[in-house]
Amino acid sequence: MSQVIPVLELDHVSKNFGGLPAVHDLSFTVMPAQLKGLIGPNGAGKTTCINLITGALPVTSGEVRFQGRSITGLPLHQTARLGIGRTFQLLRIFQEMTVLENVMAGCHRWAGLGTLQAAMRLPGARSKERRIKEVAQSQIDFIGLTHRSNMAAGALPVGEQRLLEIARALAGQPELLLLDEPAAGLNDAERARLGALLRELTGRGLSILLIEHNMDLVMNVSDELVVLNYGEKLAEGSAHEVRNLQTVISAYLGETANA
Amino acid sequence: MRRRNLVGAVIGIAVVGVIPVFVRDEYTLGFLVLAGTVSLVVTGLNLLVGHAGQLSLGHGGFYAIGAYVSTILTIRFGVSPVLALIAAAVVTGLVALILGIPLLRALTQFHLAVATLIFVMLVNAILIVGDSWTGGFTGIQGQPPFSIGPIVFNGDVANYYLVWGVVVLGVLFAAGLSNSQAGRVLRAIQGDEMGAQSLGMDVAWEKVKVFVISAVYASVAGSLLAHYQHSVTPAQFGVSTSLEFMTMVFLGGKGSVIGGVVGGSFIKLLPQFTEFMKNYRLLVDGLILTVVLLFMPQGVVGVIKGGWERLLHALKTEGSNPKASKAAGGDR
Repeated sequence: MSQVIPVLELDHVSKNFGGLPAVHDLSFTVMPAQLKGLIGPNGAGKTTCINLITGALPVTSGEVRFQGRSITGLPLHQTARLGIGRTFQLLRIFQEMTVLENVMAGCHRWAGLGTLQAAMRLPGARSKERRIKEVAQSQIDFIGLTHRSNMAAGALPVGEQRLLEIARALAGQPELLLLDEPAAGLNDAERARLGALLRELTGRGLSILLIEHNMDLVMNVSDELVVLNYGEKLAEGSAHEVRNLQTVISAYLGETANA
Repeated sequence: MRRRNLVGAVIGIAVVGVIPVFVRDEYTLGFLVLAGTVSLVVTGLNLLVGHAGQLSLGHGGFYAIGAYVSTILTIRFGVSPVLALIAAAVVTGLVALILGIPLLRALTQFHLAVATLIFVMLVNAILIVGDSWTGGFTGIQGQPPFSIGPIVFNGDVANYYLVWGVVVLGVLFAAGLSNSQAGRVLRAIQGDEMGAQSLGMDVAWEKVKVFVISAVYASVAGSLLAHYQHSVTPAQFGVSTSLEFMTMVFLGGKGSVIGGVVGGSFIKLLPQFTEFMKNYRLLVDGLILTVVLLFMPQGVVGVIKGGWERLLHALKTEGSNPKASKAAGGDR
């Protein structure tokens, strides 16, 4: 049997901002149904990493592969279409739209509803709309925002806006989900629930790359961790292995392990 | 929600249908026909401005292309008005596509506003310079009345029904777009472009599409105008007309499906009601517009909607115990 193809593969990826390296020679993989944590001190290049994978930023050198196929240089909307969902550290929800509309917009990837077909109410438009609404509602229920469905998204507390972004990304039924600090702004109970939801998603076969500052969460839910420092990979391995590496402790965990 | 829209549509169509029964004089009917063509332009423009959040100061240019292409095809080449209208819409759509691809790909909404302003100035210049084809300053007269096969739309009443019939279709199309995934895509783009892209939306292309659709609205309105007036002149399609369209969008209600009709009719019919003020008319018109734009950011439609919802809420509160009404209010 041939090897299992990784869902995501970074192959010696580098990114310079005006000569300053933000990410340097970074390689790691995310396997199917794996939850990989990406940690590191502030400014280590974690968000840049997500932007490079999704094409929100162009790479300086190296290659990004998704399901074995190079996606280096593809713009954000095309990587999204291929099946890479993401959330943003600085939230990018549609504030004026309701929670339900936000998540329905998230169904765009597979909706297959043309502008003219929708506007002229051509055959099939109605059933597609119904399907979009069903999927969106089920994602809202899953993430726990059912009671907020008809509220303007901008009126939600920040923690719930983060959950909304996750539901919106899930509505696109991605193969790979990139989460940029999803637990920021959540309270203890919400954070614990989020952890359980993420495990449930990998249980269904979704692959996840999780950037998270909350050590409890990321250590508990991740199958494996990648530790970044100054744009370079410092360590990779299970939570247990990483936790005990002296380099990691001194670079990062030393100050924040008890936070 | 859906039911309310349906009721609104039926009432709207009924009002449009019975107006000529009460309004008999040709002068007023003529104004209503013009209000209809303008409402059509603004309904399309509101898809671009109110949904996708893009600004165009050049829709007078598309209005002009519709009117002139229809005129030239019917007068010079004897093409039937329906076919000429369709051909004009195709030409306008192509112009919008060619214009829109570079503009909407790279530029912000403010660049687009300036670029479309230059576009309408350019169209106007071409109309004035293109003497033998466009008639220069004096334009072209003698367009045949609009006709579909054996049905000829002659006179004010017939044109009223023709133009407002197309307005109704235009509003229904806009409503279909607005209330579907297509509308959500546009509002998502207006809300956050990067967020929209992360969901697989091709932001630049979606903007181009709605730009083309809004241009086609203007073109169809221009064709109908030319056949109704039996004349066209460049002055009707200049910068001030384009700016007026934008004013109408904001006045009627940005992003509202019937905002275009309300805004277009309001501005076109306002002079009718202030006419008795004679020399002070322009001043009063300007004052009313300023007040509306300053104090009603959601436009006339927004104010009516807000008032209606408050009324419903008040009725509910009165009719039941306070606790239940609070729950109903929170649910909304």
